[in-house]
Amino acid sequence: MLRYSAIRILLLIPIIICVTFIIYWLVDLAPGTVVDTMINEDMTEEDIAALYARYDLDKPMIVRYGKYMWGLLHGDLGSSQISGLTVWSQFSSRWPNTLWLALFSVILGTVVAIPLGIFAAKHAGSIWDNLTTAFTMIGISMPSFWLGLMLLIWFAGKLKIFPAAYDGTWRAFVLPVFANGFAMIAGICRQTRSAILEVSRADFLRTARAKGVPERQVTYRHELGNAWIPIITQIGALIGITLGGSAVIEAVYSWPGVGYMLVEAIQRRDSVLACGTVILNCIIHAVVLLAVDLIYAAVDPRIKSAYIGKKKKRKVTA
Amino acid sequence: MKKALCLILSLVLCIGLFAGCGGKTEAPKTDTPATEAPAKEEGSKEPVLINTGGAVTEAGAAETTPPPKEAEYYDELRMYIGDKVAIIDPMNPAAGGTQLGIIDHLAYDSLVYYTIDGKYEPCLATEWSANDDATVWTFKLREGVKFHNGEPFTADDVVFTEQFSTDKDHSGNSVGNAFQYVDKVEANGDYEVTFTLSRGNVDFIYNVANPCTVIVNREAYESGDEHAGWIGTGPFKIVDMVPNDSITYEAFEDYWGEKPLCKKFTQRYIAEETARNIMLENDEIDFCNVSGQYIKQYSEDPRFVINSYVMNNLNYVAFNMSKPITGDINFRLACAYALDREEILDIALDGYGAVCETGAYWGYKTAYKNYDIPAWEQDLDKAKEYLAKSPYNGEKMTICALAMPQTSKAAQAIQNQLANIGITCEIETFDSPGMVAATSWDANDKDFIVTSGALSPLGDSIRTLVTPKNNNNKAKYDNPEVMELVNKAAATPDGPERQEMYYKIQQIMHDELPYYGTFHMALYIAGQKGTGGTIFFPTNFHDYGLAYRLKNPE
Repeated sequence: MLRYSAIRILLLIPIIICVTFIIYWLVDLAPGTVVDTMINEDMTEEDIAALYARYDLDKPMIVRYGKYMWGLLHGDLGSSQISGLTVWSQFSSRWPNTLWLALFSVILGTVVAIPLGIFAAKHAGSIWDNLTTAFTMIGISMPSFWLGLMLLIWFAGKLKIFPAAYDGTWRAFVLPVFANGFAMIAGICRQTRSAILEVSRADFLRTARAKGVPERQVTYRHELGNAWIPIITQIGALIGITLGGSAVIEAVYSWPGVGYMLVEAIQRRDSVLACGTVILNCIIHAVVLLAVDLIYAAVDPRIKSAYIGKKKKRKVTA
Repeated sequence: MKKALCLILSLVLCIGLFAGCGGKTEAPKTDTPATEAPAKEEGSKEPVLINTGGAVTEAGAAETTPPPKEAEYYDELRMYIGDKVAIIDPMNPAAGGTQLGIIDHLAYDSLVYYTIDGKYEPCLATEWSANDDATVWTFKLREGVKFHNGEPFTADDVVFTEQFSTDKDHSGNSVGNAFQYVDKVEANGDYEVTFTLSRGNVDFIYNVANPCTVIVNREAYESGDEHAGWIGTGPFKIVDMVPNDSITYEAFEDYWGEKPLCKKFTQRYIAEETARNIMLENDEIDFCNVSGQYIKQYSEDPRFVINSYVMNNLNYVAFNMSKPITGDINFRLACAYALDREEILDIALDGYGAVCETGAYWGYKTAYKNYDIPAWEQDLDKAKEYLAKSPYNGEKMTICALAMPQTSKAAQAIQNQLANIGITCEIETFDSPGMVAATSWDANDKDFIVTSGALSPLGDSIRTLVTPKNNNNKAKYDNPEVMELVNKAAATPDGPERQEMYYKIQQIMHDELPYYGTFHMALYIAGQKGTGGTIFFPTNFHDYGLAYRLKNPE
């Protein structure tokens, strides 16, 4: 297991190289540079040339990228080309906001979606199942910015229950968490429903029922216990994505998170801040996916035994 | 059979999906305008100049009346700041943008204060004088002024500011722009400085009065203070800043001038318009920009006061003079007669603004505006006549537009109006850095550029639009006669001679038509009832130094 984790972490290196190169290249490909965001009508040609030289924009992209990666190799994520603040300081000051938003959204999504998915699966083909399917379809197809705006207009504008923008209080969490969590509810609910339906035809459930195991126990212990893998995969992927920041929700609710910061960096052609943020997001995503893999082993004895089996086999071979 | 059907359906869906993703906007091939102007309401053409807090000045800017004496004020004021602020440091070129002027008015001072009615008043300098050819300027400085870090303000700080801002390692910052033509700066004791310019400039006084030309503290910069750029002598000191989100100020107790009426001031950037409107309605902010479409609603609501002004900047179409078709005067005249400024304003801003009043490129209230130059009026017959004489043979032209709602809509209106005389265009939109890169002197290969140009109250602000190789010269206009006139006018004291030069520049630019002015945008700032004290400048560099909100506005 340790070896597996180490390999997964080592695999991050080529991923980071590829992703940073793509980001650097894309920012370079976009029309305009970070200097073009600073040029004003009073600047002389010499001023502009000096600015280009200051940001190494007079050098080819590959040279700038090499310089950036050399810094990264020494643990330096660089500093924003606009504000001059280090990427780490900017990321670390905003990431807690994104983390809390992601966690609460996932908790909301999971707590509502899993029972709803089980309910739909248990009533497969009934009107309740159809209603749940319709609900999930709405959740999946509804754009988050539209839902965010609607919640804003109703609950902040008309009912005045919650603030319209982030103000550091718990009340500011409610609307973005719900807007973020709603699409998650839909996704996790559909996944739960199909996973439960898949398991429900298994022989061991028939055996359990024949032995007189109460239905509640059959559902939550045997059915859900065997349907966890795809549900955990879905939840893990959603956590990974939301921890990278939800730019749309953050923009609607003026949420000072990393998603909107990344969009800002790209808009202002701040390739160092954009790359640094993507690298940190990559690491977070990889850690979440690794954690998901470890949880697989914890919830499914078959996977755990597969890991142990491999270890034993290696010992026998030796 | 089923598989084939599924495949066909999927293909149709995919084609439908991609059909909706066209990046370029094509003009409809029709002789009639495809986009109809919105229905005009009575009086909707003129910006709603309500300003219940005070008077509207002649400069098209709103100035609020002073608050009643013995009034009780809120301790904290909160305002929406119109753009993201990533860094506060007057010496950093990345700290540009129009919000800079607002921040500068709060936290810093310039040598001279430029008033709303175009006068110069003492600020950090109490007196000033220039020699006859306006090449040597001497300023007597105010004594007893303190920086926010407690350091006293002296002539050494002025010298440092000039030298640091024009140093090539810090090139491009907003302060250095004002000192471009300064050859030498000398301190004559602690409270007098002399600037020697490389060429005569009677407008140098405006340069040092520009709110962006702030004086910074030598000690703060040389000590390596992380927040050296926050240190000014203004009525408020910056105490906190979250990049691209908020700035917090506290009233500066040792301020030399009139003390602020609130203790704390917070500026916040809110990306979503709906969110900021709700914040205004829920009394979560005191001042907020409101777009034209909501102005009627807010002006009728007794909870708010509305301040409005017309921006000095001009939205325009630049014809690329280096290209064979747009470089032809007949073609440009054809376009000028094909365009309808009022319809463009209606489409771009629902009529909330002012159409360009003359046929030359000039700021809304920029000095020496020649109102005798007639504006271009739409005449499709004349347009077709000129087009027939031009080298245009049905080629597809490119309109390059800034990806902002008003400029994109203006570009669409222009595209449709040009289609009426048979000129087909496609629109390419760019975000701000993309636009700068695509329309720089060397890279500019577009036919038309639709954007907005910054203009100050000075006649000299035309300079960058006509200077070859300048990034602001979107028309690639190169006329040595105009340049000579611009230089001469800059060195000529105010009077009939100077007026004649600026009038001549406008006449030449009208005749050669490198730029076609469309409209000036109107801006609206709503405040909670009882707010006031703010001076709204048409350059957008508003002064909130004495802003207030009364606790009992009745």
